[in-house]
Amino acid sequence: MQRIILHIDFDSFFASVEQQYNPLLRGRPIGVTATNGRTCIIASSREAKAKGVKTATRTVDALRMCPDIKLVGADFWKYWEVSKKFVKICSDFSPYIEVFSIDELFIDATACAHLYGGVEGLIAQLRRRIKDEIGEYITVSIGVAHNKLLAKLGSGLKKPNGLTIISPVTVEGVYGICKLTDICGIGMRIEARLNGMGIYTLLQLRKTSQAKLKGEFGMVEGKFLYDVGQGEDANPVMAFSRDLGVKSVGRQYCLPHNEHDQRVALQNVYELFEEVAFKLRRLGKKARSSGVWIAGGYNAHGHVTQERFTDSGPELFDLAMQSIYRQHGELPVGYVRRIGVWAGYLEDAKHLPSPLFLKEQRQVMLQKTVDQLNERFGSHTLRNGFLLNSADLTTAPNGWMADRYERRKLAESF
Amino acid sequence: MHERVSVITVYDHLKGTTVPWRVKWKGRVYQVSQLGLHHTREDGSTLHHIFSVVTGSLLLRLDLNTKTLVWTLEETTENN
Repeated sequence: MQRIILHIDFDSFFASVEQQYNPLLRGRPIGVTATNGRTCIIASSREAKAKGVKTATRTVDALRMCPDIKLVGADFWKYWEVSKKFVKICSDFSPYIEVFSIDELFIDATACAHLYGGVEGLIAQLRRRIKDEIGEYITVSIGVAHNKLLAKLGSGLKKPNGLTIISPVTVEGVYGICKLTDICGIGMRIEARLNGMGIYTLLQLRKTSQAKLKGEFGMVEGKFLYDVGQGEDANPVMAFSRDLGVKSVGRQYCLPHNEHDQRVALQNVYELFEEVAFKLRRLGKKARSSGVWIAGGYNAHGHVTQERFTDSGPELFDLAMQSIYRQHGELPVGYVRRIGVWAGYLEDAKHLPSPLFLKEQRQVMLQKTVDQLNERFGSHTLRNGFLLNSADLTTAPNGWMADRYERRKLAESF
Repeated sequence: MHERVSVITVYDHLKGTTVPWRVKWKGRVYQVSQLGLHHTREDGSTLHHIFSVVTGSLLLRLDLNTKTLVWTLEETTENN
């Protein structure tokens, strides 16, 4: 039986949500910017795109290209809420949904499309529910095919509010109008290597032998490119509710401006480690490796792995900073622009022995109490004295929905 | 802003939706002409319902605290 896979992609997601939120912005060019003062467009509306304003355009350039553009600060909680509503609507149609990012997902409708009078009927109902339950200004583009590769390609062909259905017999026609880089998984570097082999189009890729591709790209990537050429993809739609497992927990942050004050830079690193530790605790994990990188006027990075497992923010901070101090003596002189921290070598806390000594037991109790208070009254209600007067770095969902805890919570809410 | 306001809402039993209809702020009554977006937000263990509504050329961001049932006007945006 031929599979029926849908790829559903929001049109200009962040900007459309802002225009749904504020009807007075509809029909106007808008650019969504980071709220902490950094100056580039992270998403633009259809009207702004028509004037050449794209993602990553600097705001100064955006204003020059489109003087009437309205700049709006990003509100990821708003986008996360819309995305949650969207996932819930889709899960009413099929249990097989794979969330690809905050604004796109796959549905395997093979076993359920007939319940809605076929795939067109399902899509009509889906669009109606999005309009009724999320908003009339939010639209989606949909690709339908017998596999994920072609469904994803299809959703990008007609935007906004488009529908493209690709069947095995129409693959060649679709490939005739698409570029190599339209395929998810083929970026500029792979394109350049294919060009080096004399392959400039998908139709040329279609005629290339598997042996030739494997010779250039190796077994795995060569096979992937051959399958792309043939329009084949056997990957199943991975149910959103499955447990993905966690190998590491990390967080990155771009400071609002180039920070020359070392204490403020360190406070930011400390705060990120507190957040990583909180994420570890709510996942029931402990780490024994801790790393940090700092970029700006200088670049510094390092990590330390110890025998002991921990889920304490200050301990992870001390551990990672040891490696920096070992290399540089102290924090190097120069401004800090971006920082990233992570904790790895994770183990389930329940598989590890409880603290033996009273002092450590008290520390665990204290941490538990602080977490409970922060969960009840909001994050940053109680924080370490080192962070006194420092700005709150609120956790916001990112575009990849990588936070395993949030994913689990969402899956459990169905 | 965080100013307390009086709000009359309309509940539609067929759609299962509640929407602000009129807002009284600083002694003046604002008739809601359009709902923008309704979404929720958690502040600690407190769930807030956020409504963006249009009245004339003004956008109002209204917050209903589900623990206290207090309505707050959080932000106004003038169309410019």
